[in-house]
Amino acid sequence: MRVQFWVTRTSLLVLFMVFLGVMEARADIKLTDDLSLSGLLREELAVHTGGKNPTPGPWTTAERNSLNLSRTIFHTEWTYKPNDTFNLFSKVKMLWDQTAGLDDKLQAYDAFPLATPRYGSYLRATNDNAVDVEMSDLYADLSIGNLWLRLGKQQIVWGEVVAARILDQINPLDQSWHFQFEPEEFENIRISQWSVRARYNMPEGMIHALDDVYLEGYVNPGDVSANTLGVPGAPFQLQGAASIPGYTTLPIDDRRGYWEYGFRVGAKVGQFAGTLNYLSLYSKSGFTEARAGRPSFITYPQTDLYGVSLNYAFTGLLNSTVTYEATYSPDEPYYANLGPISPANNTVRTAHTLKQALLFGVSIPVLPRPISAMSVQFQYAETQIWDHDKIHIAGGAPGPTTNGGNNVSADQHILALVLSQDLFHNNLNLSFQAVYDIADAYYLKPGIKVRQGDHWIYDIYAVALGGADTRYNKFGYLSWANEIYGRITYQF
Amino acid sequence: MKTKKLIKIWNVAIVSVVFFCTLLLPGALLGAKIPSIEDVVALKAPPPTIEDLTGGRVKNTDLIDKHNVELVKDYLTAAMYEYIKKGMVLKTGTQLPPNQLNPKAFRDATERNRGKAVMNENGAVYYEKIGTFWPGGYPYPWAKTGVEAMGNYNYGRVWDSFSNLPVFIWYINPKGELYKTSGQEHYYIKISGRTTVPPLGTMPGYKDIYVKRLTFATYPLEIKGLGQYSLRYYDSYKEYDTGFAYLPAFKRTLRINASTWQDNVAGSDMIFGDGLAFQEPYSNWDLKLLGKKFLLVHEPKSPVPIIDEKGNVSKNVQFDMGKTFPRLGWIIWPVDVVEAIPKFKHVYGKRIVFIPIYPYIYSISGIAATDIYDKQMKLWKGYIQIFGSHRYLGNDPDKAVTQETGAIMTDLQTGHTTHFWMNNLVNPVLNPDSIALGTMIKLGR
Repeated sequence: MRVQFWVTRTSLLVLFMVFLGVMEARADIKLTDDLSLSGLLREELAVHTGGKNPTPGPWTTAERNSLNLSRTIFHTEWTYKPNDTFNLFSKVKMLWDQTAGLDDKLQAYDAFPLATPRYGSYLRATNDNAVDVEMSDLYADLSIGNLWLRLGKQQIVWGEVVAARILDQINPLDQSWHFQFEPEEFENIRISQWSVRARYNMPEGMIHALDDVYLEGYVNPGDVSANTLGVPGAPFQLQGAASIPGYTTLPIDDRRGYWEYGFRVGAKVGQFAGTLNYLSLYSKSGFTEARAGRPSFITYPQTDLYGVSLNYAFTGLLNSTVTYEATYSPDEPYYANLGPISPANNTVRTAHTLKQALLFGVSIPVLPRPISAMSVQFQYAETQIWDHDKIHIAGGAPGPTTNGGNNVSADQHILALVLSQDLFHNNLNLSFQAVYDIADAYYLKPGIKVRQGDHWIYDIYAVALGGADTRYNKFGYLSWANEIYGRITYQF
Repeated sequence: MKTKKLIKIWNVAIVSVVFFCTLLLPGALLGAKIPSIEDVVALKAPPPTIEDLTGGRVKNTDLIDKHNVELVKDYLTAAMYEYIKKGMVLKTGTQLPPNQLNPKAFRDATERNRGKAVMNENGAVYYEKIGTFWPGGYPYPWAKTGVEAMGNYNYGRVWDSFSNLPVFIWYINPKGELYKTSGQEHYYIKISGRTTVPPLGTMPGYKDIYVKRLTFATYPLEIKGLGQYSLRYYDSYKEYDTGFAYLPAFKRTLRINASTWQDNVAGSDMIFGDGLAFQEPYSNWDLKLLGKKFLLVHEPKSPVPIIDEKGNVSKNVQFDMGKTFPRLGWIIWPVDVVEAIPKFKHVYGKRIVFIPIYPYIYSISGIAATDIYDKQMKLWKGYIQIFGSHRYLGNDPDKAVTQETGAIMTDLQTGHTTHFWMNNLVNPVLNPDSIALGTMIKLGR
């Protein structure tokens, strides 16, 4: 442990010195003709403005924590590209979380819960509560004619809508990172998995009336894992210790070694473009289940997802685009209890579930040209559970952890608005994201970003969640997480 | 005797008239040496030099700057004139004969197809009859209308494919300081009108697609991998461009509206419609041929390379006004002058487009420069294409190309300048299916 402590901090120092040496680079740093390096050094600070986290945890005081996050990230991207046919890519990150060290209302907690011996495939070299060194992505690309292969630890993102994960279901999320508050949405929190991805572009004209036809598929031959949550004591702890792998004493029926896979076909007809998709996945959230003759355990049921996406661009109608995306699952898992939520009582059932979203995008010249037009995206998303009566949880008043509080609605409707305006030759960006659940819950995130020269970026955001719907995991329940956070980034 | 005296007086009178005419109108005598545009494009005479056109008042060895710009004003675009008054300096460049400008196959196609171009109501050019794609070459070697001149620009593209590897964008403030850069890569492939890279003519199976284009950002990290894939159709008025973008920060491919020509490019002084000088479909513009003239345009071959293969600007390039204006070489070429006024609500009031006349054309952009006016018809910006990289593909003298090196645009109203510097490769062998939607994911992060 003591050796590891010094190894990690020495590594940080070495990399920082390398970073200082390349600070003036104006482009990717060419280490050799075929090997290039780019990256960033970032400091993030999130000041907690919400109430005390109500989740049972080892909080040192009755007062709320002052900080949600203080973290330094040294992120590097290595590309080895000897020719147009092959390239090797890796993301190496070093992170130092200072949150608990700076806020005396927080007890020391594990800021990097993904680093467990159980999940060695995550390529995290450390097992330190505050320092992490990891290779988050490592993959090789191979292009052979119209066939493209990507093999290795990667993110695979299908789907086109914003602020929602309809088809984007392949990779689990690390919600211990910073929930989903960062402006990059899920980019920093998707957990890359060892997979083989292949895409074949059909020769044009092979299928009459269809253009840009492609077939794509992927296989994850066993590197299956679940969403990761904030651990006990973390500012973003969301569940009690009893439910968190690594902390629970319950047996876990995880899906390591099981295969996940999917395939899709995409094409264009005139100005319409779309995809048809199928995914065979295991639930990313664990379910605590009890069965006759067996003590309670955590399980990740298998689900089938059938998906479609369709998009179209209008000319004349504000030069807008419209995108539709949907998935249907005949076996989406839910709790379905006849009694209070508890490991002994929990029953997991599946229900037919439709999730769909309609996204309308437009560029509107709000300010006089030559100032860039404002990007406006407006989206309606809904979830419908068709046999909802199968999964009703009996009894209890609404609340974050009560039976009634855990009831899933038969339908859920969410509106999202994302605005982005660049000014001063893109040196200043104003953004605003609003997500509203019509069951009365909201998530607001205004932000300002300033770019200085080639290297420096300063951005600051406010996160406000609230609403009368305080069921578990809804925006209203999460109002305790409100914060203002800022980042200083040096990129090279 | 009397007759001899009369003859002598008459000779003196003639010499005196000639002498005084030469004094008062120095160009009058030398004017006889300036060829007509018709003769130049018919290859009966080489293009004149600036010294020819100014009657020697500006020598070919002189620099053109704000002190003598009035002498050459007639041979400058309006924006170039203003740039020079602000501090831009020109030097005389290297002229090349037409057979060293473009591949022989393109010139042969032009001659073979001369007189066979027809145009539909949208300005789309066809071969002999509407519906048959133009097989290649310059459709209207002698354009009679603005639409024909723009038809040359769009359907007379010399290149069958090209890539810009890499592209660097420079952002220069009014003080002339380079304060920001970004990097890109571009890939273009033409589906029809191919004259040099097989398959010639039209690639089978692509229906009405005319050009496939892929661009993506390489620098800085924040936008690295940001990609755009678009399709231009043969009749861009009948079928508008299709576009998709890949956002690496979200790892998502989004449908975008590729007709947002008025949107700003990456915070630069250019809008998307300014790409290749006039990228947006011209069928939405009223086009009028104002005339033909001799114009100072960028030289097709620089004595020394302006950029190297890594896309870095050569240290030999001198700049004026800080980094605002590179000091490069300029020559005289005949051009068509086209006035373009948008038929719809546009951020620009008009463009004046300067299109070189065949056979004096470049291998990439068919436009040498544009003057851009705001809606009050006040001169706003000038777009200047920079060339200066001359190569023989495969060392074959029949495959000469004048490759694009960059573009400059200065906003005369704010003083901000954008440079595009690029290592341009003309006619690489590109698989059209490699310029596709999935390529953005492959090249993205």
